[in-house]
Amino acid sequence: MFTILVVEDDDNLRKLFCTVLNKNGYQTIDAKDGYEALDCMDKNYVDLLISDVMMPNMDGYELTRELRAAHYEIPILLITVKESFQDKQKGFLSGTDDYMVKPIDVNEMVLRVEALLRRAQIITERKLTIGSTILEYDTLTVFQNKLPILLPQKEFYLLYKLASYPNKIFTRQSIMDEIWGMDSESDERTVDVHVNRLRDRFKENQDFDIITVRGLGYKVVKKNV
Amino acid sequence: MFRKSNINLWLTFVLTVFFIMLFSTILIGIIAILMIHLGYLAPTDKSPITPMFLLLLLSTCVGTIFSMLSGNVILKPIRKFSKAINLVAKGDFTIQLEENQKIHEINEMAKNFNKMVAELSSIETLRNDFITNVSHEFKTPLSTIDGYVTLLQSEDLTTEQKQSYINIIMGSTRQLSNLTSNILKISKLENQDRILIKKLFSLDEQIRQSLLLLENKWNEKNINLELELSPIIFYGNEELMMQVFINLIDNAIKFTPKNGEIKINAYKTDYAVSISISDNGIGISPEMQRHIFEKFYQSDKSRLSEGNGLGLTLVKHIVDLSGGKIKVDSKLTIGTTFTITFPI
Repeated sequence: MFTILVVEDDDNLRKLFCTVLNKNGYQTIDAKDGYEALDCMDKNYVDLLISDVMMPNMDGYELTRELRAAHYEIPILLITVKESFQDKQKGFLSGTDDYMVKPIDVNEMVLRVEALLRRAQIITERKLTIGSTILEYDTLTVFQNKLPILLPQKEFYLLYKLASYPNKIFTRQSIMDEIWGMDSESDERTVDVHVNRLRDRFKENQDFDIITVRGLGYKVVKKNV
Repeated sequence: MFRKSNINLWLTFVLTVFFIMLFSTILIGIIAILMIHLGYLAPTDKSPITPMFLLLLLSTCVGTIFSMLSGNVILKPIRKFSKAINLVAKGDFTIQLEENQKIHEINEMAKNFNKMVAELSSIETLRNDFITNVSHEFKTPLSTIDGYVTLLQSEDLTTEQKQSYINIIMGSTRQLSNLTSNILKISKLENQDRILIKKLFSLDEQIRQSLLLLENKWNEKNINLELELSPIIFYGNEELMMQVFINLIDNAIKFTPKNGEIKINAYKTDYAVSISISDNGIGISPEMQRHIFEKFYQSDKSRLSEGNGLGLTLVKHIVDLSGGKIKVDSKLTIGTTFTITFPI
């Protein structure tokens, strides 16, 4: 049972978020500003933080920074009216994991919370499961029905990244930037080559496929869902 | 250059001073002669200091009196001007000064003042129109929400009815939210005459990222994407260009039917960068093409619930501010193409 801390100074919204989260099986604690939130963090175990930005006493950016400085690695979702790129940038730089702009679709909020918790689990366990296929980050190994295959580093990271966000399209550029690094000398065709190698290796796999989205990029889709 | 009908201010000033001095001297002279004649003054009297002192005093007084009288010629229009400015400051933009002043500079001042007031008046009109429009744009979804919430209070509604009303309310809320965002963005842009934050970024990648952001929408309509994007490094404001692509692509998706097609071409020549976004949707009539970039203009009134008429206005603002041009080609029922070009 996950516990989520909701920090929001508007009473109606705070109640709304807690109600929606409770309905979806999460336990919630709430706070009205940054100071109350830090207090709650001290007294309770919290799996995820949802916070407004514009609050009295301590704003969302500061709260995020304080938590990260105190080595809390829990996922943080900022929900705010501030929607400019600079605002988002400020949010991400202070250490948030996700950012939503008000007014929000509470269903979308729940989806993002789920995704954040799943990713946090993947990060802590450093392991990804799709059907009966397991990707183990630390050993660069893919287990298909318990049979291991060791992959070369770039191929593994590519597959791991795409599989961490099933159905999400990634452009060649963003894959290059993340896995080969921004300063890499290789060009985007390297990505194509690696994807083809992965397809070759996993053509018998019943759990996932790597799909080409023409002109845009690649994505991993789960089979038999 | 001075016109035949009015005189240069400097010349007026010089002539005025000249004539004041001339008349003062003549008047003093006459008084002195009279005083000698009548015996009040003798040329060989004890010391010349007293008469001289008296003469000086008299000259000063006479000169001052003449100045007071002629000063009004210049000061009257300035006083009128000052009064008029005060009225404009209080909000009256109908004030006009007469443009038939005799002195050239004063006349120019009156002309420029009138131009300024006309400009203020037109800005005021635009602002009032904008406020009226905005107010209307806000009130429409608000009344919708109000109305449907009231309907939801009735006890005997079918589940379908309830769901339908709820969807309408959601739609209106989203509409309001988009409207607020867009108005904020447009206000910010209108106060700028050029873009401040610029950097080098990949334009083709940005188009792809915009498409990814809208994936749900084009997927839902099963729209086919034909992309021909050459690698283009562009110097500009990343966030604003992203907004341009998102608005144009969103429009293309909105006005293209299910299973339709959207083509995006981006290429670079020696002289320019060109991006075109085409759809095979319902198209825009020539009459409407002239107005689509205007605020709050929506070609299809039945789509009021989906947009707010500010998307293209924002696009045009940004393209203009970035030094580019945007044009639209469209035929009803065939499709629409928006082409943006930036010179290199």
